[in-house]
Amino acid sequence: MEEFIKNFYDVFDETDIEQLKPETHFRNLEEWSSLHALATMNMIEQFYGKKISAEEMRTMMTIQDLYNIAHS
Amino acid sequence: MICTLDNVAIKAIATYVPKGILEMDSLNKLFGEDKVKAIKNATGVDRVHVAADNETASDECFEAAQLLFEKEGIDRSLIDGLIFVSQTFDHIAPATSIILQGRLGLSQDTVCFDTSFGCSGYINGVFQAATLISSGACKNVLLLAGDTTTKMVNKRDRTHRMVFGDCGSATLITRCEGKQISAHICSNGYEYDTVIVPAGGYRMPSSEETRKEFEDESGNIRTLENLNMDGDKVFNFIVHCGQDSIRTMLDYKQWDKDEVDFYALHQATKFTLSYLRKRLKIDPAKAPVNIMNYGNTGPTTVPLVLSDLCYKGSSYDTSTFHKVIMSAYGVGLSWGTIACDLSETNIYKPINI
Repeated sequence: MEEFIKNFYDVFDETDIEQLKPETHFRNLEEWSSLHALATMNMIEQFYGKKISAEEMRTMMTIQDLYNIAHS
Repeated sequence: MICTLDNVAIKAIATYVPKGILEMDSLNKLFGEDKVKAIKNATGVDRVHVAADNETASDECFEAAQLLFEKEGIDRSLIDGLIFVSQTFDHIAPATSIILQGRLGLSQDTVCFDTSFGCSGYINGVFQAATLISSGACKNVLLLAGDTTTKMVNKRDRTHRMVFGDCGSATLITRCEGKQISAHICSNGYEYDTVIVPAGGYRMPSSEETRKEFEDESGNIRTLENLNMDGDKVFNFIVHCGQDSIRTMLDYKQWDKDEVDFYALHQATKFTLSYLRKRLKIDPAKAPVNIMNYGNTGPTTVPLVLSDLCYKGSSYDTSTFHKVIMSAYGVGLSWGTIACDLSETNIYKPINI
């Protein structure tokens, strides 16, 4: 999980890594935008070999959700 | 394709931005303050320069070329090649490069090419110029890359209007014993419609139908004669192909990413560039974002980042630029990377800045 959070953190510019916990609702982060969703999908594909669709991405709420799909 | 071209170097770079400026904040009423703020945050664009109604890409490049001639003290008759890279040509025919050859007072022995590329165009242009020189065909090639992308964008299309700006550039590429330029050039015609102006050519000629405005699912208004791109696909394309091309070049040159002195990278949006940098783990100070005052200026983002930040007298000491990576990606789809030495290149500050 620690490594996953580090990779997810790279998607952001102004968010502190302390704000990123497994239970964090990432959509509520101030910096979050549709571009961050794209970058997150790209990151998961590149590092975890999982291609997720935009529809699947829309159902993701917490960092744990993202971690789970990346490792599914 | 990847190769190294011998005995060639970039001698000088100049750029020109039009005087007209569009402040993104002035669009608050049209697009809504919240939307404008959100887009500005992602793109990093506060303002762009906009060409006047009667000002074309060739006019912008002409001004940049005139500055090069004046500053470099070049004898115009020694120019034997001219490449014009753009998506916004003066006429359907003849080639704009030939019009520029005449306007600039160059010899009739000048070989002229128009090259139809957008954001990746500078990379393709440097490659073409270098092949002309390395092959022995030419000694002094003028590469003129410029666009007036704002004229292809619908005024009520916020995603495009808030990103693209206009600019022209002039680069002198000359024979130089012992110096090299390496190029990695790629294209993907399977995805040609990812970034496209569908109508106005011969596949879909201009008609009443193609001039009709419509609203897309995101609420942007445009016609079939306006520029359109699939933003999600473009983001993935840049992150994937941009990374791959830069890594391919670093491997080919056997350069460590940290020994590169400067990365002049295409300025698509602040978000995209910053994410690409992080993926490549390159020092942000060596690969600056330079989009706030100009937007995405198509084929000139690479020379503009050099001209705007690294001109003679700036805080960058370009005499240390022995290992420089330039990389750009765009309409085509097409993309590529150049590795070269800019330590002896004369870089001039943009005109109108």
